[in-house]
Amino acid sequence: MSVVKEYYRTDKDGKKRVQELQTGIIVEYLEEPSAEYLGKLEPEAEWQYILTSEVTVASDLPPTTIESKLFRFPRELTPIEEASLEKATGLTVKRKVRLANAS
Amino acid sequence: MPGLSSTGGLQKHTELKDKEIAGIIDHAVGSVTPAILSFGSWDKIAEINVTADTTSITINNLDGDVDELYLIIAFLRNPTGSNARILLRYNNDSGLNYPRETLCAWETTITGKSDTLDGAYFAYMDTGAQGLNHALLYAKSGYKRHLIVYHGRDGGGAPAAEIMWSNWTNTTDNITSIVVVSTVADAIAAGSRIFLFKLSK
Repeated sequence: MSVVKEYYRTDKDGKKRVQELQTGIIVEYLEEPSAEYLGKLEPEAEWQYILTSEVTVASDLPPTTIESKLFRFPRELTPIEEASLEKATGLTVKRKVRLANAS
Repeated sequence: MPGLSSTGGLQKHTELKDKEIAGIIDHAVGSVTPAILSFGSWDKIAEINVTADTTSITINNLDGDVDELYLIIAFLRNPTGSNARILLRYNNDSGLNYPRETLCAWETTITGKSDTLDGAYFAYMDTGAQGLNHALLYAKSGYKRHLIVYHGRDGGGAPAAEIMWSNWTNTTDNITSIVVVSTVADAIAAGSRIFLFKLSK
């Protein structure tokens, strides 16, 4: 698709590359966001814990997952809280991930 | 097969050829446009090639009331050190006006989510992830504008597939622009591509 015209412009959001397409559509890419714009992008934190129970059915096979559950918390759990979660579910923490913005 | 005959196709071809000779149809080189080739389905109105890491992309000069339905295909990359949501904001409305529901398969774990965001939920990109999106937006005013997205990603955290629905609670304003925005700076990285189609008339 042809770009008829290309140039840069700057506004309060930052520096933008502007493309005017042959279809009449104008596309603006924010390539250098301003400090003001970046200030609005404060990510929210979230911790995801995946707990599983596994069984090994044969020594030449990887462990088989019997059950898997995902939990989300606004902060990282302490070791005591993690143990409490494992006890309550009967599962084991397989992985924990800190997400800047949770899906 | 019922309705087809061995001579039906030949008759149709002869009719078209007669019309071409009569000048009713012009099959001259150059007269075949993308609109004709789209068979009355979709017209590509924007092809976006991201060549430098970008935080948002604004697509201007749209007319949702006239176009009615948009198809958005996007290949996205997020090489930053943070996970990012990719949202669509209509007319740059950044208010909490976009209820959403998601169904996410994250490895073997299935989760659902229901809340309201400051943009229509388009993609979730783990740090380092690449993903593909297929979305339909019913853009005509008079109703809430609904967005359905099929999204898959890999390469960052665990591979995931999601089905997402959002709407825009604004039922009156004509959609004249769509802002594809990341919640993390530069998370729409070079190599990302977005194709926008409108329903052809």
